[in-house]
Amino acid sequence: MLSGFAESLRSTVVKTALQFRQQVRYAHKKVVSSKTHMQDSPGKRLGAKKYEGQEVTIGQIIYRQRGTRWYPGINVGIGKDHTLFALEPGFVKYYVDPFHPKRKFVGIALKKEDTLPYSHFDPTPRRLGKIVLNSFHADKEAQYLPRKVQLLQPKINDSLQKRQEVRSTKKDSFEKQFENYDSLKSLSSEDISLASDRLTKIDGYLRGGKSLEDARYYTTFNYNYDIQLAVKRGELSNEDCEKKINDYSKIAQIVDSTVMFNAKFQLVENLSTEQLESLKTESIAKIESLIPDVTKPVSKKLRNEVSSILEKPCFSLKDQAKLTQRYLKQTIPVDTEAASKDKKAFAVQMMNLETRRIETVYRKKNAFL
Amino acid sequence: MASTPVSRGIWSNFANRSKSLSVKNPSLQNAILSPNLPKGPSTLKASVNKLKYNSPIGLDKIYPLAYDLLEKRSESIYNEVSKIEEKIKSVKDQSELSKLNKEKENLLIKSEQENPEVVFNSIFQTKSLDRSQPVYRHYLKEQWKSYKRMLTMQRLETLAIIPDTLPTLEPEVDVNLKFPHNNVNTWIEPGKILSSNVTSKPPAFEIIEFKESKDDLYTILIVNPDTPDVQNNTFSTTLHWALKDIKLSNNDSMVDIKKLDENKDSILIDYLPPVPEKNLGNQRFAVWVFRQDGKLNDSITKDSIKRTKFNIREFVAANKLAPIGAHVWRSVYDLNTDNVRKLYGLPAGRIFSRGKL
Repeated sequence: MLSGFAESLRSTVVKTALQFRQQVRYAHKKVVSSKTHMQDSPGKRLGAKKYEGQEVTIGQIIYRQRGTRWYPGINVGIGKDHTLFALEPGFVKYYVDPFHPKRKFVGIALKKEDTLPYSHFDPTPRRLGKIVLNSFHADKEAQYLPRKVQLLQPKINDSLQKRQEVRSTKKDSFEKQFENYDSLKSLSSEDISLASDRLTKIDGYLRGGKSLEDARYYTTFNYNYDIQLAVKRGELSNEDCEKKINDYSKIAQIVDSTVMFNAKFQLVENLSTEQLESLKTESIAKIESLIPDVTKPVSKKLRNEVSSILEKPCFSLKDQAKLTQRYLKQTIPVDTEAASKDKKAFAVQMMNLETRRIETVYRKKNAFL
Repeated sequence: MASTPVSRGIWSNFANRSKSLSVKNPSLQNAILSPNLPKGPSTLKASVNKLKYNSPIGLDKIYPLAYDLLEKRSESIYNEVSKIEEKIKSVKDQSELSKLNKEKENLLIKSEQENPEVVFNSIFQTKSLDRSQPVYRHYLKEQWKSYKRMLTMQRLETLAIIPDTLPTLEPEVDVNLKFPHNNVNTWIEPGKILSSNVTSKPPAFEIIEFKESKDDLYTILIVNPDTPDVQNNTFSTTLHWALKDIKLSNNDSMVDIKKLDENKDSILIDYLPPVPEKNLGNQRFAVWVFRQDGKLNDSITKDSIKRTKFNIREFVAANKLAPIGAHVWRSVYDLNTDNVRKLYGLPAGRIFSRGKL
């Protein structure tokens, strides 16, 4: 047993000894080289292409650079590779600007004797650089429209036409309503057209947020202004202009004293501010008498009556909302105990605001409006 | 209404103070003057949120104390004011008088600056503030300085209104501009490009003074520094509208057609709408507001001023005008420009070459 072990030990020792003797060195080349060897490139021909005082025309390159060694000054542009080029014909000036102490600028002076930067508080000298086109070229250019505008034009015309249609239907509807007012009915057809035009214009102003007084004022102003412009154009004499303005002011006076608009822009009889004020107090008093206790349910009939009062012209939309909230509140206090005894009571699921939970509540039939 | 536990000192006394220093709405006033916001802040609208609202712990004790402290401080400042008022009665020297007036105004601002009602108004009621009160003018000025003034100056500088029209501007007033003949009733942001239809009739201005102003006189000019001067291959300035001797005060700050109709002499030169010619790009229309140190000389009339090649610098120097505010809009040739020309009886516009030559 022991001799067997010695045998195997000896054989392994011999084997390893042989292995050492058999090790071979192969031929190889040592790879050692500098990282930046052979990486040169041709020069990029950077630097100034135009020097101080040299004359340039539009688009000429003044300076090629990597990054902004020089910044574009007055009348000079900069390309995507920071190349500086002339935007105006003139004389190249290299300069510094006290407003940017860390930068150097290249600019173009329009005159040879100018120095840059131009005086800070004087108007900057500018060149028009355009000519007036004549005959053939002018006609061609007059007809030219950018593609975007060309594509949009049918849409624009369409919407203009639609707007015109809406205006004319509105005008017609005003003319129809003139039948209800004696002073407007008796106007001549020409005056009726002027009056309805006036109302259409006032309606537009009111919808834009002007007060009724302002809307009336600016409508008159616009009419008078247009007439005065017609005089300026030589289409009207001074007397005609005065007559037209006088006539219009008479019509305006009739229209304004007869009709006005309510909160929903509907035509109603005109009321003075005092009348509106008294009507308002009167109407509120009436509503109060109709609904003395806001916590009690209101019948459908009463509700309709109150809402018809609220539609009176003395109330703005804001007033209407406020008063509806006050007098025609949808919620009526829940009296669960009384309701649960009623045979015809309804079970309703409602949210309790304080506990923020949904509860089943019994309500009387008349609690629903 | 429940009695408010905050003290009822000088801030509740309107014998010598303007009523505009209080909050108009009684329920809002009650909320501001109660120590613990009984129904939550007024900004909460839904009843659920109002019910959920709990005022900060201890506020009901601290708030009346703080209110009392501030009110007492204000009262002592008011005493100083009354002393200065007595001094003003005896002093006749003009320079000292203006110095005292300035001191008085500063004290009046200081006395009301921390009044909760005034603070509330100056934050939430900016459109209906009583500008005759120094405090409100102070708060409005702070608000203007924080945004509007910077915006206006930035537009004036980047669009080179400064220095192409006037050398520079130290803005003192807030100038607002709109074209009220349009249906849409909006103020115009400085530098906006407007269509020729919008600008076809004269604009209206609002000039908000932050100093005390009673019937000061103002001049307003609208100039276009981008009118082509083909002969000299450069640009010239055209005067589009000139107004003079416009009387304004703190609470009467609008310059519109209504005001000009009453005083027709104040229109020095009629309004000429922007009608840029084709291919000339955007043209700038600078509105300059000047404070006059008296009535303008009568020799300046419609005939003495030329619209074209107008030299605004010379005009300003000759009439001793102090530029205090400006505004700017831009116009460009559009599909409606020719119609505006026809409306005003102007000759057809020239057509320029497209690119730069």
